[in-house]
Amino acid sequence: MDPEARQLRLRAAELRRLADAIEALTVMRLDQHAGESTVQSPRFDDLLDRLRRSQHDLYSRADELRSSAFHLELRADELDAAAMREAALAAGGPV
Amino acid sequence: MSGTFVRYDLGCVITLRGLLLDAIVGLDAITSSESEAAPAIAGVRQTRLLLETEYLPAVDELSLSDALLRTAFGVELPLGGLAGFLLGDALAFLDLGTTTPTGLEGWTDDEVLEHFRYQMVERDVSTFDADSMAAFEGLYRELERRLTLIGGAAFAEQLGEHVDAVRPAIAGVADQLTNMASQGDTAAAGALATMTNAALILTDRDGDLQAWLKDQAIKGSCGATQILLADSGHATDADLLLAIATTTFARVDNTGSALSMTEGEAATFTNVLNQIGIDPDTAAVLLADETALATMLREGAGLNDDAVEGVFTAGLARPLLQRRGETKSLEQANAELIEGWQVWSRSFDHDAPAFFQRLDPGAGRGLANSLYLYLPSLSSGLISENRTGGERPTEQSVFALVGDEHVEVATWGEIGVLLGRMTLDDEGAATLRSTADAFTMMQLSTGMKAATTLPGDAGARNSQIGRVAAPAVELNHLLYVGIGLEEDTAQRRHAEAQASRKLIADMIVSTAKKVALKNPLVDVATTPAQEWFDAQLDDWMTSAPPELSRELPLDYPSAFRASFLQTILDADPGTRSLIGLGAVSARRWADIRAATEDYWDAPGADARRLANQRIEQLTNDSDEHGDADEEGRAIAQAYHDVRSSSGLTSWRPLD
Repeated sequence: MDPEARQLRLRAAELRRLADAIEALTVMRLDQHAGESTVQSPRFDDLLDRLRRSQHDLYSRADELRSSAFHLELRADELDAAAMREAALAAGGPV
Repeated sequence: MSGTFVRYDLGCVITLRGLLLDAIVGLDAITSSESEAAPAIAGVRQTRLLLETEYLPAVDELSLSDALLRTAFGVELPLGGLAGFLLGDALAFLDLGTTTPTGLEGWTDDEVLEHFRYQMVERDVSTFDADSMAAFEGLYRELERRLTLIGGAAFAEQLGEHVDAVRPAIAGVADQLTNMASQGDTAAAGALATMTNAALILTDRDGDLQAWLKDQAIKGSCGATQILLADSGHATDADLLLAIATTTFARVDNTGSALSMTEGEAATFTNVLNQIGIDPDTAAVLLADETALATMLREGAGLNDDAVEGVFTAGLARPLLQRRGETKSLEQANAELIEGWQVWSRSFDHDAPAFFQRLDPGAGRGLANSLYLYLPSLSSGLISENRTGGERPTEQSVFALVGDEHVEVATWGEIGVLLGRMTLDDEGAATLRSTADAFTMMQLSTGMKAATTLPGDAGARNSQIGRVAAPAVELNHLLYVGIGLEEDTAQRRHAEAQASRKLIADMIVSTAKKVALKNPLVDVATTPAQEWFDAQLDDWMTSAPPELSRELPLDYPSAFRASFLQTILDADPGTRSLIGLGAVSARRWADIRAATEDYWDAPGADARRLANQRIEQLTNDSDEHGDADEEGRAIAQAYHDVRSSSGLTSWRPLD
C-alpha cells in the first residue's frame, strides 16, 4: 500500500470519527428539552431558533467532514492503484 | 418587572440547565488538527458561544427570578414531571384582575404566593367548565409543588390578614368539589385531590389552619373532613373521627329518620365510618353512643351498608382483637364482651325508636358477623331460662355468663325478633345460617372430644355429646322463631354449604381478617377466645340435661344430623369406637362422606332433600330392601342418643 494513501485513509477515518462525534453531541438533542413544554417566552423562543440553526449548521459540517473523508479515500484509492500498476510493470507482468 | 409573560416548567428548566452544562463540556471536547475539520470546529465554537454566553445566562436569570428555582439549585429537587406552565394557564383562566403584573419574567416567592393568595378566594367552582377546572387544578398542583420545596412558612406569613378569607375559601371550595366528585365528576375529584395535597402541606406548617380544619370538619364541612382524612395521622385520630361521627349522627332530617346530608357529605361520612371500622376500640366507642347506635340500626338513615357493617363487626369483635404486639388479658376481654353485650341489648330493644323501622342491612350483617363470638356466653343462659320457663317464654329475660358475671341481655322473644330481622337481608341470612351450622358443628365436635374421656357406655357418651350440642339447637330454634315473628320464610336462609361447614376457629380467623387485614395494628387475642369456648364446655359438662319442648325449625334436623355425621367422619377410629361405631366399615363411612358432601354442596332444596334421603338410608337399621342393616343400626342408635339429649326431639309448636 502506498504510504501516502495510508496516511490519507487515516485522515479520512479521523474526519468520519469527528463527524460522528459532532452528531452525538448533547447539544444536538438539546432542542427536545428547550421547547415550549419547558419554557415559553420571546427570549427563549429566539434562543431556541438560534439553537436549531446551530444544530443544522453542525449537521452540515458533519456532512462536509464525511464528504472530505470520501474525497481523501478516493485519492488514496488512486494512489494505491497507481502504486499497483508501477509494481506490475516493474515485475514485467500484465498491468 | 419588565418584559413579556413567561411560562415555564420548573423541573424541565432545571433539566435544561443540566443539559446545557453537559453540552458545553461536550463541545469543548471536540478538537481536530485536520485542515478539513476547521469549518466544523468553527461551528462547534460558535455553538458553544451561544450556549455559554446567551442560553445559560438566560436560564440562570430565569432561575434567579424564581424563588423555587433559586432554592432548587442548592438542594436535591424531586422532578415530578408536572407541567408547571399550567400555572400560567391557571392564572390566565382564573381572572387575575388588576393585581396581575403584565410583564412577568419569572416570579419571586412573595410574588408567586401573592398570586396564589389572591386566587384562594371563595369561588363557585360548580360553574367551571373543563378548561377552568383543569386550570384550577393546575394552580393548586403548582402551589403543592412549591410548598413542598420552599415550605409553607412564607405562604402562611403571606396569608397574614387575609387568613380569615382564605381558610373558609379552602373549606368552601373543598365542600363543593366533594359534592361534585360524589356525583361522578372526575375532574372535580382530581381537583379535590390536588387541592387536598396542597392544603395538607399548609396544615403541616400552620397549626392554626389544622385546628381550624378540624373544627370545620366537626361542624360538618365535608371538604375539611376530606382534606384531613387524606392524611394518615388525621385519618386515624380516634377523637376527631368520633367527634365528626357523633355530630353527624345528630343531624336528623325533618322526617325524623334519615340523616340530613348532601351526596358529598354522605360520601365523606362513609369514609369516616370506614376509618372507624378498622379500629375496634374506636368502633366500640361509637357503638356505645346511643344516638349513633340507634341511627345505624335503622334502615333508611342514608348510611352506607358496608361502612355500617364494618363498624358493627369491628366494635363487636373488639374482645377478640388486640393491638399487635400486646396481649389482651382475659379480664379485659371479658369486660369488653360485656360492653359488646350491652350493644346487643340495645339492639334487641323493642321500644327503641330504631325498632319501629326495619333493621339496617349493614347493621344486621355486622351483628351476624359477630354472633358466634357471643353465642357461647349466651346459650347456656338461654337454655336455662327456657328450661324453667312458663307459658310465654318469649317474655323471659336471658342472661349471658361472662366469666363469673351474669349479664342480662334481653328477653328470649327480643332476641328472636332481632335474629329474624337479620334474616330479612340475604347476606345477613347467609351469615346467620353459616354461623348456626358452624356453631352446631363446633358443639358436636367439642362434645365428642369431651365425651371420649367419660366413663360408661357409648349411649352415655352420646347423650353427653347431645347436651353439649343443645345450645346450637337452641340458636336454630331462635332463628326459626325470629323468622316466624317477622313473617318471613325459610327461603331467605340461603345456606352457603361450604361456608356453613366452617368451624368457629375459622370464623375467628375470618373476623380477624375482616378487621385486622385493614389495620396492621390489630391482631387476634387468642387467649380469651380459647378461654371462652373452653369455659362453655365446662359449663355444659356440669349442667343438667335441657328439657325443651318446641317445634323443630324447618330443615334444621337434617342439618343437625349431617353435622353429627360430619363430626364423626372427622374423628379418629378410636373415638368412633368409644361412641359405639367401631364396627362400621370404611366402605360405609365412604358412602356417608359422599352423601354428606352432596348434602352440604346441594345447589337447591330438591338436591338437598335427595342427599338427605341417601343419608337416611345409610344411617337406618334396615336397608332400602327392608333387610337388617347392622352398621346403619349402630349409627342410628348413636344419633338417637345425641339427638335425644340435645333438645331436638321433643319440640312442640310455640303458642
